[in-house]
Amino acid sequence: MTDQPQGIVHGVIEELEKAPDPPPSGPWIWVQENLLGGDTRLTKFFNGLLTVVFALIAVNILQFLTSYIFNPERRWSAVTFNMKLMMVQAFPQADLFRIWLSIGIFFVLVALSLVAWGLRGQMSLWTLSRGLRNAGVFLMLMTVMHGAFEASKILPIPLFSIDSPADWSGTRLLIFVIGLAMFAGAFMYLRREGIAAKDKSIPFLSLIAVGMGLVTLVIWTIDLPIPDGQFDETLGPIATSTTGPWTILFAVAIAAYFFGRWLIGIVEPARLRRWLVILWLFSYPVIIMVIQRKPILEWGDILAISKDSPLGLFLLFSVIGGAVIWWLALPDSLPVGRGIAVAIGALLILAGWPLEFFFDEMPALVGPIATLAGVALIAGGLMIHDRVEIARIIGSVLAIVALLVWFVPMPFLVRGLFITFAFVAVAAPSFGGTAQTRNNMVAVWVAIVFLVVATFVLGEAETALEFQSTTFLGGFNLSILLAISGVALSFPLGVVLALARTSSMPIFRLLATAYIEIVRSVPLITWLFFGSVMISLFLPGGISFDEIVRVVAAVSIFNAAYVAENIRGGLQSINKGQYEAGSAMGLSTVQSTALIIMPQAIRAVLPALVGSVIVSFKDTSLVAIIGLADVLLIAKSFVPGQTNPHNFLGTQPQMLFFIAIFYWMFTFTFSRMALRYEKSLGLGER
Amino acid sequence: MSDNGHPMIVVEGVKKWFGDFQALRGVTTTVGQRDVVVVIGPSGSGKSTLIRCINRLEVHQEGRIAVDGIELTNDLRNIDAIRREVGMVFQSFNLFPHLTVLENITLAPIWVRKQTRTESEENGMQLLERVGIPEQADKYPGQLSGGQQQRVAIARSLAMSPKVMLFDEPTSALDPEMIKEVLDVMKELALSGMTMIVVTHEMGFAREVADRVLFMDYGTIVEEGTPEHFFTNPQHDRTKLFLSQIL
Repeated sequence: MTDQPQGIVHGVIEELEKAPDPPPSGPWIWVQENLLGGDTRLTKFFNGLLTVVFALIAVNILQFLTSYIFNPERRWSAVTFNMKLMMVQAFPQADLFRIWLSIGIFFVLVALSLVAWGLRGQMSLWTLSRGLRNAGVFLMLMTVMHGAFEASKILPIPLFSIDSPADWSGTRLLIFVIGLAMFAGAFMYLRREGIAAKDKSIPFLSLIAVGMGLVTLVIWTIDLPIPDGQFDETLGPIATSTTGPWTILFAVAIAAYFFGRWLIGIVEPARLRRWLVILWLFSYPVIIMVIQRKPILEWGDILAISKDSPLGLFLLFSVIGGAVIWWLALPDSLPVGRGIAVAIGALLILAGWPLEFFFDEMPALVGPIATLAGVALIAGGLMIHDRVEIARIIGSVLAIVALLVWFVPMPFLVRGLFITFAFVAVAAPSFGGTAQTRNNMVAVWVAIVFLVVATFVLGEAETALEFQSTTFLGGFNLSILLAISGVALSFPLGVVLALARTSSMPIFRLLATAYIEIVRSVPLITWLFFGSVMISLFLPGGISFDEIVRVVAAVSIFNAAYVAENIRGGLQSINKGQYEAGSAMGLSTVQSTALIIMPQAIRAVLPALVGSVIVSFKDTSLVAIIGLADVLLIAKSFVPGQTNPHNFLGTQPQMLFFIAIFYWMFTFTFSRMALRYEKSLGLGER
Repeated sequence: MSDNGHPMIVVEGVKKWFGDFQALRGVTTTVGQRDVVVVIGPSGSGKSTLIRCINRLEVHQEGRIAVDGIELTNDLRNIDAIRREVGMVFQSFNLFPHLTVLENITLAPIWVRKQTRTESEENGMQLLERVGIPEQADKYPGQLSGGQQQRVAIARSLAMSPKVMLFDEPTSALDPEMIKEVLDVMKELALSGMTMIVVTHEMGFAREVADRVLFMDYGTIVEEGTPEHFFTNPQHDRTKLFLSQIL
């Protein structure tokens, strides 16, 4: 038997076997597994008991809510009647179309973005119909339970009210019928399709369209409570001044969607996306400063050709700045580069350019700074042979000069332009190169100059609106402005702070750490008071801002500290190998940071950033404390304080109840959208 | 040994300390153009440190390094110039997980070489075909197997058309079944005339492809020679011991 092989061949199993049947399911098994969990009879008993107790508590809370909402003593007319006040406060009636126009622009941009970025999400009919079924049960329970709480006041019996449906109010009956319809429809569907419904799905887009259709139907048909005399309320239709615009806006949104579908057939999607990003960026200042503010523009002053008129500054900065940026972004032109570096340096030393240009009387600090910068440029131009490096150095020197210009007394607009120039000049050598990127960069610069100048001009202009309040912004409109501006400004600032805090240069680390630790340790309310009362003291002489601008600044300063800490966490999670791979391929530090590190860091901490956006949205309500009329202050004080022509005394609880639900709607929608976005990025999967 | 009169890489008396620990104790060697040099040795022997010094991922304290005639000094300009000529492949791939395979490859050509997007994408697709995975161009690195990722990393380095390729244990993080596909790409590269320094434990590769093998230990080159010399007739005791343990 010496030939006996040492191994055994088992071969490969070819045919696929069917997976074993899923374990039996059903209501009783579900109850056993979920409500009576536990291994022994004793633990099952206690777990079951806990389930019952907590179910009763939940039912009781629901009872409380329903009896609160449906109680005839509740005067919901305070909410419905004051909706306009809460949304836009004192915005003049005659100019309300401006608000509708703003919403319309928003809708159109959303619809186009849905096309351009392709919202491909589907919802399975299984999930949808189960959701509808459960929501239906919930609605029916709510109406049936109504009144039971008042009847007993003792936890938790009787569970259901004993009044007959014949006595129910119309709304209550309607809600019950809607709930029943939802339940019955979904139940029948699930019964018929069974598990097969899991494989069928409808696009989210159709859901949204159906939702908008339903809302339109509802606002045209439903009657809402409106005040009648002193303390009673009656039911009335929603004013056509509200239903009309909403219907038109929904139609516009759907039209815009189909327009986008047509557009994407003839325009490349990437191009459409780029334009949409630009439109989104521009839409916000345009909406706030042009559409809603209705500024009175003195075209004569703006278009005057002089060195300090807005047009003059725009031309000056876009031409001279554009030329410098174009040069900084050039690829290789060695001798020219050195020549220009030396020439600019000489000019700086000789004339203290460009500061002298703006002032008759030059401040003491300017001369030495200009001389220093000039010397640095000449030295750099003579000693360094690589053009890109010269460009980097010149960019940095220009940036330093531009930052130092802040200390020179001159128009705020010029300071702002110089600061902006500093950032673009530093970035230009790193991201320039080909003719195309160079031209893009100059175009971006001109656009930025235009934006800065336009913002300034519009901000300075008087508004033509006639309103009885300190500002044309109020109510939810103000909350939105504060939230978006706060996030939009704090985000870049936070990124810069996070980079500074992880920088290898001690002065940046020190400053960033001090900023973050100080700002975080002081309550937001303190910063708001600070912004409203004290910020002017710290600004260079002669500059003052509108209260809202100061509040936006305070909110942004505060949020930036949190954003910075979140992003720092993301930066720390990036593997050292990513930096090494970047530098091994010859990318500069700025390029690696912008192209490799920062995108990954932000993705890594996206959930935390979403959290801080939600917090900052809710925190805008704190401005009520410094007397700005945001939606919360109106709901809490203005409406319940009204006695004439309608008396809303004592309606504060339902106003606050409404505000809570209102805020919840927005934050919940946002967090769901963010969740979907995270999933689409495949966070945690790649 | 060289086309235009000078060796591709010159390393002379290079010393490197991490704190008090001396990682390189005076390493001297030259690599000619089109040479394939395989560096072997136990862990902690300074192999990786040596090649990381060549593209300045680590800074050596003494000695000189020159690549293609460019002296590696603190001058930023020289470091950039050398990094543009030297490609590097890492043990852990270090692909950029937020970019697709093709974007990984075109990133540096676009931003460092200032190529246009179309140009760099065409070039990138050719490189992906060269490493045998053009169909993966639009996937993300996380969706690829280890061997495919490492091949993308090689293509990414090649996209900068380097004159030298450094490989830092390119197959150490791979499953045995995937090692071959990466080694095949490296062999093809060596045959095409690329100057390569490869730190590896793949003795088969060394025997088959290397022009010269360096054995390093304690931060020095203990012994160097042709593959035949190494695998048939090693001289130093340390070399014999090492080879007897791994072969």
